[in-house]
Formats: sequence, C-alpha cells, structure tokens
Amino acid sequence: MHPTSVSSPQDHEDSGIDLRKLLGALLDYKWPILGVTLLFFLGGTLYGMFATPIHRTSALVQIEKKSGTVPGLEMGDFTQASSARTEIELIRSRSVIGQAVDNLHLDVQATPLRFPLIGDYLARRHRGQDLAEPLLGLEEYAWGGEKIDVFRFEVEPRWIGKAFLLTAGDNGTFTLEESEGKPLLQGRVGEALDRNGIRLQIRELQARPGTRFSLRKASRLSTIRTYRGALQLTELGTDTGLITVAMEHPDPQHASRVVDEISRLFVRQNVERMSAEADGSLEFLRTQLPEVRRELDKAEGALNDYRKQHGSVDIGMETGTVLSQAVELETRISELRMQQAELDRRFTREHPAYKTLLMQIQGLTRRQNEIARRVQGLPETQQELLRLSRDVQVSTAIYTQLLNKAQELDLVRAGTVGNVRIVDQAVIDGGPVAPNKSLIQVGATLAGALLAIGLVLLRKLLNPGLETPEAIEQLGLPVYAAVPFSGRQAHIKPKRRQMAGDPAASPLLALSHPNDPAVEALRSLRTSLHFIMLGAQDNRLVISGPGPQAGKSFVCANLAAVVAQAGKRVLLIDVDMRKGHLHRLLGMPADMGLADLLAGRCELADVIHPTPLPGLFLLPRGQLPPNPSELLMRPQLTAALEQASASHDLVILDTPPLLAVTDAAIVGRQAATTLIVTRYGTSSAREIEMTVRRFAQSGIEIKGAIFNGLEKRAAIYGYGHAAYHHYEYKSDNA
Amino acid sequence: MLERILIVCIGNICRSPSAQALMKEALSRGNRTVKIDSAGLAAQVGLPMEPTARAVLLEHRHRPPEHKACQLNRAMLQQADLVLVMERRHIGSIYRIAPEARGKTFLLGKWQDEAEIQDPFRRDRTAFEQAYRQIRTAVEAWAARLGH
Repeated sequence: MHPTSVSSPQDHEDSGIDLRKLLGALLDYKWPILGVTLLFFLGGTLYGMFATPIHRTSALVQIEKKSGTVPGLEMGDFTQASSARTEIELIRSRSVIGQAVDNLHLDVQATPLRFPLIGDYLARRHRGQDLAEPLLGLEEYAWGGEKIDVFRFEVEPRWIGKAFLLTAGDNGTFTLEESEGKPLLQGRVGEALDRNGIRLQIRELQARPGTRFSLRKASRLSTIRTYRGALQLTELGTDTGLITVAMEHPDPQHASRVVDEISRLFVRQNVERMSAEADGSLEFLRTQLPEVRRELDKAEGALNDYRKQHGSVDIGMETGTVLSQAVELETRISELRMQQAELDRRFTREHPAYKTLLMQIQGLTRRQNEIARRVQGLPETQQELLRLSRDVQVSTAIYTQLLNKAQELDLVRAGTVGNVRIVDQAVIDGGPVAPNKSLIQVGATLAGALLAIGLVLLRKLLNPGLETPEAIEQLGLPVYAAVPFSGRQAHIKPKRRQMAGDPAASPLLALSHPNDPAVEALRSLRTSLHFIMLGAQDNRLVISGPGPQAGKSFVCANLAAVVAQAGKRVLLIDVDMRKGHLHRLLGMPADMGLADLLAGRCELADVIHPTPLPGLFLLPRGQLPPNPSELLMRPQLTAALEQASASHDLVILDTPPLLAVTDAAIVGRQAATTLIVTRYGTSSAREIEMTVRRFAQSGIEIKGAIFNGLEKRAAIYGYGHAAYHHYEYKSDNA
Repeated sequence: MLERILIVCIGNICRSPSAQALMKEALSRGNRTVKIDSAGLAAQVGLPMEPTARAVLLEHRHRPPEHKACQLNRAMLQQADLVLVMERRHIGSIYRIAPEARGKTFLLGKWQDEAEIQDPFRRDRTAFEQAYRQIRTAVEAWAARLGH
C-alpha cells in the first residue's frame, strides 16, 4: 500500500537554524566529538612535551641622561624622549650586531643530527656527562650529550648557506662531506685545515664515532637579520632610560653569550661616540707634534751653530726683555692659531667666536711688528742671537704646550664614560617561556572541540534532516503516521512510581492527554497497522530507527497504549538492553525483564508485567547485561516471541537504533513487520536510505516509516488553519 | 477498532454519498455497528444528492440516503478511524487540513490497485454508471476486510 504523496506548496520561509535540532545532532555525535577533542588534547600534550623548550635571557642596560656635551644645545626633555628609542635602534644596528656575529662566529651553525620528531626530546632528557647510547642501533643520530665547537669555518661564497655533513670518527678525527656524499676534508680536532676552498678548525668534538653533524656557514647579512629579529628590546616603563636586551633561544647559554656580547659592544660604541671629539683633537695634535719637534730641533741646531761660530755670546739686558716679550707673543699667537684650527673644524669663518679669535690674532701680530721694530735698533750679533734664541724658546714653548694638550686629551679620552652602562648581565629568566604547555593544551583541546562540533554541524547543514513526510515518501518509504511534536511530552517527567488511578498523572501521553494531536496521529497509525498486519505472517511489529533521539520509545509506548485502548491485548517488549527506558515511560521498574529471560534466569510469565492500562503488558529490558547482542541471538528469544504472540493480539518490539548497533537487524528477523521512526529535521535522507539498505542486507523489508516530531511549519502546511500545536478536538460526545 | 468511517469527495453530492450508502448496506450484512459519514472538501453545503447519482443508486436497487451535503473539517477527520477518498489529490488536501490523519486515509479504490474514481459531476449518465460500478467493487473489497 502506498499512500501517495502530493506535493505541497513550498514557500520558503523559516529556514533559520533550529537550535534544538543542532543540539540534538551534537548529542547524537557526542562520542566522536569527545574522541576528536581527546585526540587534540593528547596532541597538544605531546607537542608540549616534545617541543623544544625556548628560554628567555635578558640583560639590563641603562641610558643615563646626556650631560650636555655641546654647550647651548641643552633642550631638555626633547633629546631625552627620543633617546631610549634611538639607543634601541642603535643596539639593533648592523654595526653592533655584525660585530657580535663576527666575534662569536654566529654565522657558523653546527648541530648534531637528531632522530626526527622525538630525538630532540630524548637528547634533552639525557643527563650526565657521557654520551647517550644509540637507540635501535641508529648510530648516525646523536642521542644526547654530543658537543661540537667550531673555531673557524670559512667556505667559498658559492657554498654560503649550504649544509655540510660532518661525521665524527675515532679519537677526534672527522670527515666533512657535501650533502651529496662527496668527501671534502678529513682531519682531527685542533688542526687548521685549508683544502678545497674550505677552511675549518674545530676546537672540540665529543661524539660517538659515526655520529653526524650538520655544519653550515650562513651569510653574514642573513645571520645579522636573524639575530636582529630575535632580539627583543624594550624600555622598562616610559622615560626610565632602562632597556632590557632579551633573546629567546633553545640554548640559554648561547643566548646569554650573544646578549652579553651585544650589550658590551653597545656600551663600547657609546663610549667611542662620546670620546669622538677628544679623539679628533688628539689626532690633530699627533700630526702636529712631529712637525713642531722638527722645528724645535732645527732652531736649537741653528742656535748652537751660531754660538759655535761666534764663540759664546751672551744676550744683553735689553735683548733679554725683547726676547721674553717676543716669545710670549709668539706662544700666545700659536696658541690662538691652534684654537683657530680647532674652530675651523667646528664653525664657519662667520662664527662670532671665530671672528674674535681672528681679532685677537691681528692685535698680537701688530704688537709683534712693534717688537720687530725695536729689534732693528739692536746690534747685529744681538739681533741674530735674539732671533735664534727666540726661535728655540718659542718652539720649546709650543712643543711643551702641545705635549700637555695631548696628554690632557688622552686623559679626557680615557676618562670618558659613556652615558650607557650595563646594569645586569644576561641571565635566564626562570623556566622556559615556550612552549606554554598549559596554554597549548587548552588551545588544542578547544580547537579540537570546535573542529569536531563544527564538522558535525556542517554535516548537519549539508545533509539536513528531512522535514516533510513527503520527502520520506520520495525515498520510496510509505509514511504511516506524521506524529506532531508534542510540547506536553517534554513536560512529562517520568516518575518511577506505580501510576495511581489518575490517568492524567500518567507519564504516557496517550493516557494523560488522549486528545493531543500526537496521540491522534498514533491512532491513525493504529488504523494503518491494522491493514499492514492483515496479511502478515505473525502479529509482531519491530520498531527501529536510523539514529538515537528519534523518539522510538515514545512512539512504541503510546502506540501500544492506543491499540490497547481499542480493546486489544498488547505486549510491549523493550529490546534495547543498553539504554532502554520504556519502563520509565510507563512508570514501572526495569528489573525482571528480557535480559533475565534470555539469560535463563526466569520464565516468560515472570517477566510480562501488567500495566495500569488494561490490556497493555510490558516486558522491560531487565538488568543491563554485558552482552546484549549475543543474548538476542539465542533461540530463547524466538521461543519466547512465539509464546507471546500466541497470547497477545499485538507484540511491539522497541529496538535500539540500527545505525548505532546491529541489534535491530537481529531482532528484525523475528517479526513480519518492521517500521522505522524518523525524526523531523534530524534523520537525513542518507541515514534513512542506509537504514533501509542495512535491513535489506539482513533480508528484512521495512514496511514504512513513522514521521515523528513534526513541527508546525508554514512552509509545509501553509494554509493557516492547520495549526498543529495546541489544537485538539474536544469531544462533546455528540 | 474501526468504528467510524468517513468518506470524502469534492462536492459531497455524487460519489461520497453513493459510497456511504453502499458501505452502510455492505457492513450491515455483517452485523457490524459502524458509523459511516461523508463530507466534501468543497461541499455544496446543504444540497441533497445529485439527481443522476441518486437515479443510478435507485436503478441498482439501493436506498438513497436522506442526504445533506456538508463541509469537511478537522474535527471530523480526527474523530474518524478510517478516511476514504476518491482521488489521489484528495489525500494531500486532507493532510493539509489534518496532518495527523496520515495513516488512516486511503483511496476507496485501494484494493483495486489504488484505483481512482473520477468525478461524474456534470457529465453524462455513463460516467455516473461507471463511477457507481467502481464504487461498488471498492466498497465490497473494504467490507470484506473490515469484517474482521
């Protein structure tokens, strides 16, 4: 029999996501979701265990307020504000980091080759000084405790960035080969090798013979870039002038070395910048000194020669005075000239300081000319002597002056303290900063849960539950009843107590609300069941479904009730020996049931319990057995069913969902009629087709479907007067 | 179990009253107390049976009922244990009025391979004759099964 489908007008509205449906889907898939979540949790935990721990080392550098070295440029905070930023950029500068790279050979990377994935972890676990034993006889891997210290490694430009393979041998020997396996070098620790365009010297090598290392010379620039990126420079607070120089690296010792070196170089550079002025002057003096010295020697030589020629001639009284004046003037002038040279470096000739200097020099030169005129009046020999002595004295004065100045500058330079100092040397900041194990665990778990839930929901959205009985009929399954969703059923709290005489308090909807549309629909099912079973070989009915939460037990219990109300003797059997809850729907205990019967603990008569509804009998699931599927295979079941069929008009078997366990297929063979319960918006076309196929594989033909939980949807019954909820026909006994 | 039968067509003046009359007769032979009603999806409310249909019944020696056409509603559908219709499209119409009637609504011609009984209204007498014959066969088949 095929009630034929009639296409109904579909006006598409209300296609929103129904929260309850989605929640139901999540409940259906709670185990896979939990599984995936657990898997991610384990993954996160393992990652946290195996990932290389990164440590953070940091040093503290203080930038002091600049003591205004340039007079007149003390603009106060303006220079200070930018100072920390400036200094940070200076620390990151190529010159500082480049110097550190050169000093520490940071561009040479030598690492022992570890076993993939877990090698690093094992090597970290290895304690003690000696080398770890190889696992699984894999000698080529380093298992922990290896050391290599490369003093020098230089290669031709074309091999920069290329990884070489270094294999340790016996007694400190090693071979270096290209990755293709072409041997390039052989040598031993300490030797300076230079062959085939490679210079290599290894300071220390601790490894089992056969252990392999990877040796790589990175380009200097890329190394600088790497370390530049790794350096974390932050000012503590604002305007404190305290900068932390930090780096995160798996090897804290290495990081400490780098951080210390960089801060040291930075301080040195700072000092050099500060003493740059003194340096400049000193250099100038150093070029001047030899010349002055030569002039002095020349002057002394000339004076001595003159004295030798003319015998010892004394300088007269007057000559003495002139001489001392002239010398004084001369030294003054040279002093001023020196200042002029200094100013030349700093100012243009238009600068007022420069101008006054020139004026002074001019004044002194005028006085010199006066003295020259006075000298004219002296005797010839005295004049000559005066000239020579003056030269000597002036040169001496200038020379000593220069020497003094140079020493002074030297002192200044040595005493220059930069405005930067290292407050704290590099230390490791406690435990590893990465991986943050708990965060990764939590994150991974959350990600897993979200992914699993998302997939389930996506699947639900892509493979939506059918929402009309017609859609099921299009799959070729006649729909014998469309049971509307009953809001009341949700309110009925199953109570584990014997029903009193008051049917309104019954957990069974068919008793408490006999006029509920859901019960009406089941009465229609009763009618079609009558005709389905007319030609059937037995009076047994199996009710199953594709998935859980379809409402099979609700349908079974209430169908049984309405059949019993029609004056038939109905036996309801709860075959779900895993999660059966029929007894709860009827407010009865579960023990002494099917499981006990099949286990041979009792007789059929002991397990058929009368219910408060006359004509309705219940065979509950019994005590939960460990082997439900196996029990169902026993011949006792067939015998019991035959017996039950003989003494009842209808036997309804409520079976667990087929797509979850195979019980339904086993039980299906025991009955002539099998129906499935599908749920509105939950059971998808694919699920229903799969169920039909599964039953067919066991040789069972599904007679039809019961469509449960139908919701009022304008799209389905769009005629306004078909309000399915809260409408019931109150019989007026007409 | 099946105590109230509702027979439905469109106008409730030709096919359903005829079927109602025949069904009553057939079931009374088996001493069954079954209440049989008829209604129309778009009934000519209050009208008696269509004259030609009535004549055909008389000619075949049936007693035409005192009939007044009435409009089908949801309450009727809910009270019935079995709803019989003439054509396939009627089933859909009934589900739209009362979705819970699914499962107890069948074609009158169900046992003749889901045969439909066409509306003879405003056609010549042969159409009425044909409808009558179909209805009679169908009713017999139902009566046999309801005798259980």
